[in-house]
Amino acid sequence: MRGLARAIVTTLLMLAGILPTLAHATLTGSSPPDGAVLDAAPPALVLSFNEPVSPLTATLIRPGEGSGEPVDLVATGAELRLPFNAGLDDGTYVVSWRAVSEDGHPIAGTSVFSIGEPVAESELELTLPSHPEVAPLLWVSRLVLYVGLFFGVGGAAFRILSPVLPRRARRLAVAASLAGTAAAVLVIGLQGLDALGMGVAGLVEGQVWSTGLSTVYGRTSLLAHCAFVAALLALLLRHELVLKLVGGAGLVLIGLAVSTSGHASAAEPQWLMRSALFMHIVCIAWWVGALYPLVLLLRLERRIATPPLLYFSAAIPYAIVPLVASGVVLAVVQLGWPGPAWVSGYGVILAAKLTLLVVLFSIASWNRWVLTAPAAAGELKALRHMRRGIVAELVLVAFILALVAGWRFTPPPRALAATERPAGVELALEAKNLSAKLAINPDRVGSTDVLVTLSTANGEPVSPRSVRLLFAPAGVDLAPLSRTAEADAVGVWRAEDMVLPLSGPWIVEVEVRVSDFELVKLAGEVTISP
Amino acid sequence: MKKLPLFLATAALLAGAVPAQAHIVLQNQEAQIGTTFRAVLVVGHGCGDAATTAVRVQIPEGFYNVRPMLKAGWTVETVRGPYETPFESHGSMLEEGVKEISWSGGELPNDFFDEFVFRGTFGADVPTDQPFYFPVIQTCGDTEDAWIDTSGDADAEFPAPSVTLSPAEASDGHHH
Repeated sequence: MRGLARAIVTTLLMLAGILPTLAHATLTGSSPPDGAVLDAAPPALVLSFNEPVSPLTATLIRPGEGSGEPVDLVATGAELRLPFNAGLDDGTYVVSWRAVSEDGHPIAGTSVFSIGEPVAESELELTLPSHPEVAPLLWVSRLVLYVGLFFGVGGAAFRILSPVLPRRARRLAVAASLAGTAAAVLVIGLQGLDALGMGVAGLVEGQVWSTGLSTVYGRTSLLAHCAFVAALLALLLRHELVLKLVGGAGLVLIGLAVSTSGHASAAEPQWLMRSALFMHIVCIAWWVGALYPLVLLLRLERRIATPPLLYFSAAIPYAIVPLVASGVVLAVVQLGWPGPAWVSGYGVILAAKLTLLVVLFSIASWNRWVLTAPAAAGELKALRHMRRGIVAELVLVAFILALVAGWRFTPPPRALAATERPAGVELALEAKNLSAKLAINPDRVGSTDVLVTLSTANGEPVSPRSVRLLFAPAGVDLAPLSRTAEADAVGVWRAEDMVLPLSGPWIVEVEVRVSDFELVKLAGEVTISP
Repeated sequence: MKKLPLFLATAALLAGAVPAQAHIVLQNQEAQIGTTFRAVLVVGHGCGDAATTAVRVQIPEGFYNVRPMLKAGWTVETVRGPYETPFESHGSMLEEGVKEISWSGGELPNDFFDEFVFRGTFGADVPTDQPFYFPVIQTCGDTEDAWIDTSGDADAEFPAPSVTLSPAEASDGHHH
């Protein structure tokens, strides 16, 4: 048993080291776009994402300065707005921002824009220092937190079934709860480090802890704390009714804690996902928490062991059915119909989890349907098999928990879909004294948005009367698609929802009416993927 | 001179093959540098179906001493500006002249065509290897068609009316 436990822990730690961290919300566009040369100071920088994000920090580096000043971030829906309070002078500005996705993962980026002429950019330290030690620590802490929740609080909840808790089971549950409490506290700090991109040394700073508390994982930790308090109370009290109530409350709190954060709770429809996750977690906690006490009970006298065993057997189907149903709902929403999402990192982990679950359910069913009656009757062989079966269940549960913790490092397929789609293509065109930068996003068949940023060859801003875009497939006899672009407040010309029906090379022409009588045509080629 | 037949063929193609409803063009599309030229802008149709209410033409550098023709029912206005190269005319140096002409206030329904006339003199140094363009803006109420595409693309949607220039022929005097 000890050797096995050691093997499990080693494997989990190894997994923690190799799994990379991936961000989950992605930037889909910005206004002004990266690298724009504007003729007037923009009132704000607006960043658009594929899902709602929470703001963290942002830094504005003014032209000629080496270090930045903090800027406010305002979040509205899936957009972040960085208002520039004082009017900005001419020059090149760099904005570095950090935000948190809905499921708690931090994302960061940098935006550059120029007002008037772009100043030769000074050597800026834009690379953020990396702290690879934070991710594995975070993973291990979260794993201890889950173990504490399921074995500690779940174990305490076993007292609902049977007020008699073998001493070793109680000690394990108390130890698990205490370890879980410590892990919950540590997770808040580590989450703050992860969000702010700092190393372990940052744990001494108050800002790290307050940031960690403000993320969704902070809420999870707080609720987990309450669950642990309930668990410890349930384990130490004697009054039967009270401890049952408190144990039940602990279970509910586990469900609330876990469904507050993570991928599933960030997916739509939220009411369905959160309630499915709540159901899933509560059933798991109740089931898992009962396993170790059952193993121990089965060594005791039949008189003491049988009633809880029979209660458990009778009650477990009421936990298994919602467990499986909620699991199916979660998997379906996260993965969608059979397709490429099923072979993503997320899908692979799910497949492994399902495989282990099949084995787990087989063993559990064998225990329940075949072995329970003879074990309750006191047959020694049945008792021994049942104990072994439950130990096997415990081992499988540990592996499944490790797999589930690995989901922290795989973005859900819906975010993968957003990142796999390339963020469009950029074209730089020049003609006469005019330079145009086009951002075609996405560069695939279907509806496309085109953003045009214009400047003179020296980088000075231009204010043309109108800009027209002409798209014609190369080599195919199709009339060109023409669209008159609209200028936005900062002088970026947009043509939205242009439908490109064919894949392959397209000839792009930009007609810029620089003045009343002067027309400059710029042409280039872009490849549209299917 | 070698290119003249090619230009002639292209001009004939443009003048003949293109129906009157297609572009605003000049009636005469050939001229000699150093000579006066009567520019006749043929407005064969409105902007789409809308009636034309104003025509503005820009006079590029190289066409000097420009005078528009008055037109009944239309208000003719000119914008004067400096010439980059002064132009000698009848013994005096002209340093500035008409750079833009606009006919406005009238109404030319789509079913009718009309001509807007002005004349001037091509400078003796104007290059003859490329067409000479007169960008025109045709206004129809609130909309306008800008015939200002000077790229020379065969498939340009709104090409500017143009003239093919050829070197001056030997002559015994100047013409008026």
